[in-house]
Amino acid sequence: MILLYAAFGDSLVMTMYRAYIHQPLENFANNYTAYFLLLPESIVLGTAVLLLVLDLIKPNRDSLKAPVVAIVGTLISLSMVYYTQYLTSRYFNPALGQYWGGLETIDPFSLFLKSIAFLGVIFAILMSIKTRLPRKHTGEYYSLLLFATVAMTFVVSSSDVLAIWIMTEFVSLTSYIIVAFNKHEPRSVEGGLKYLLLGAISSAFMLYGFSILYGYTGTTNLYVMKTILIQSAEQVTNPIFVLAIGMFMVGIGFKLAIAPFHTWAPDAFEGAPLPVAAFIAVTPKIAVVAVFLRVFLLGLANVAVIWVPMMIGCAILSMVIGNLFAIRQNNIKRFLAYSGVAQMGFVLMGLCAAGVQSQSDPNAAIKSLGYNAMLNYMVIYAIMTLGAFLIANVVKFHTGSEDFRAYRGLFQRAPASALTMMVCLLSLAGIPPTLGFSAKFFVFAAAIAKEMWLLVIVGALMSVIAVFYYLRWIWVMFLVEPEDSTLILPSRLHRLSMILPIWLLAFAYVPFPFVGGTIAKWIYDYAAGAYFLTINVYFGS
Amino acid sequence: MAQVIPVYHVLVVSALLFSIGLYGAMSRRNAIGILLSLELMLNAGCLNLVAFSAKWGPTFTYQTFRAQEDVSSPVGQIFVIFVITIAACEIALGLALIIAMYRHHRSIDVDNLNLLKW
Repeated sequence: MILLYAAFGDSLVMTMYRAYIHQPLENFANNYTAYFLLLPESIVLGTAVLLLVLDLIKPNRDSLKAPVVAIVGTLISLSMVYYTQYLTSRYFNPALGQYWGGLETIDPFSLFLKSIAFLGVIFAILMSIKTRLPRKHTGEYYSLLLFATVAMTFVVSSSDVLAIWIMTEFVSLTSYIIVAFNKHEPRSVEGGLKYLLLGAISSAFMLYGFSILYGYTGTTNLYVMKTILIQSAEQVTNPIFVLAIGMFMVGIGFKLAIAPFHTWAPDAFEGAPLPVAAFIAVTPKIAVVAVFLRVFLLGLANVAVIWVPMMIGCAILSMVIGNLFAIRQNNIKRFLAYSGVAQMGFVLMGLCAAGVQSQSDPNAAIKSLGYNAMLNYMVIYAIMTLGAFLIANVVKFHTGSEDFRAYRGLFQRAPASALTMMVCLLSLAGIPPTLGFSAKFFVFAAAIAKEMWLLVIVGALMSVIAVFYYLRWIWVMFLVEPEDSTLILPSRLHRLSMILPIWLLAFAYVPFPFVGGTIAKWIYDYAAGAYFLTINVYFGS
Repeated sequence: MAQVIPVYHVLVVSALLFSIGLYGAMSRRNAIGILLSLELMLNAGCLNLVAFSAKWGPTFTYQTFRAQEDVSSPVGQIFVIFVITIAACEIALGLALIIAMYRHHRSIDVDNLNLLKW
């Protein structure tokens, strides 16, 4: 059926286009043909429901059926993302990226982040196959992962605070369940409950912030909000408005686990099953970064005076707290959680740099180095963190432990795994030959170009501390004698999935040193291009 | 035309509601008490949205901005309906997790959540 669609679906859209060709494109984009653009989401949603039904009909616990169905569904919708891109570029006016009353914007930026979210969930499913989950509800587990992915694909394309709030809530609600999935394990329930209580408080903050923004501007659409704020630029120092942005920062900061609001992250990660920890460490953060970009660089770009200082504070706190607390962690999941807090500090550094722009050009923030550096950092962060979690999963599977001691002499027991872990950790630390260095390089370059010296100095100091604690884990893997020297033979699945991060991290950077790095260049061409055609049209520049 | 309550009065009520909710969420030890306080915080947001929706009237929307036709779409009130739905989901999920917690600790006091630290 999919093949049939691939063959004929395009001509179907073509026919519809011809039927509407004498009408303005605007009407065309608002009628039902635009639902073709929801193909990726609807396929994942369908797969998730199918998994639930299959689990009810025939609960075949140990078979590979559920994960294979989940992966096939995700791969099909991944291909549909590219098909959607083709559709938008060919049949829809790319300048009219907004559909469904402006709730969602389908543009290259959102399609790009959607594909990253799909890759993240495929990784999580691959890791889950070799993990001991509660045997009763395997199908439910995979369908929840897919539901979370659907929500994330909607988050990255939301351009209206209504859609943003509902969809981030959808992501959170599914995450609460999968974190507490081992419900017979007290730690899992504790992690899930803490995550839920703090997450719900944060969403109440976000809602209150949004309600004040709505009251101030009279709209929930971010594009309209931007126009209104341009027109009333002299009023933006209204304290109520500062309060609204502050409350939004609290809410969204919780979801991204940046520093004063990061307390849920280590607990939720430690309680969660390992693949779930990997999943919530990467994909929701990418979705939330998309929200940051849309809200701050689009809706609130003109009031950067208010939010940039808050953001600088959060970035510095994240880098300091994340790095200092990561030093003493002996559990790999807590360690990666704190390292994630620190990494998010660097991501925010890029956002701060992108926020400080001249007000004359409405698209300046998007063309800036900071914006591209931030997206680049997020993609590379996703690869390195997933890689590190992958090895943690291998070690957990073979030794049953997530502790620092389980990594003693890992190089002698499982050389390939130890080398992969080394590349991932060096990349997280930002050591030159790896991709992580290019990520940090661009973020620092953006901050230096905007002369944010405090951020740059704190970032540089904290990078030095980071090298220390990443090297501590590398040291224990390579230079300490193992307690138990039996070989660990990772399964073929694990070995296959290890290849991707190590190749990307170690070698993707090599061909274009300092010119841009392959991934950075790709993101620049792909994501930065048409996101802002839309603004040009609306603002007549 | 009937006398309309000024929007500032509603804002004061909602700010109070939010503060009471936040205080409750911070100080309660009982998990269900925290969930109730959360509900207060969400409802403060809802009250704001409804008040502002009344202030802006139903016509100031995305569609009218695009100046096509005068469509009536009260965004704030629709937002509130979604918020109520999501809040119900959150409470249901919270209660489910509290039951799971009760099975382990025989109590729903959040001070018992002390396995994971630092």
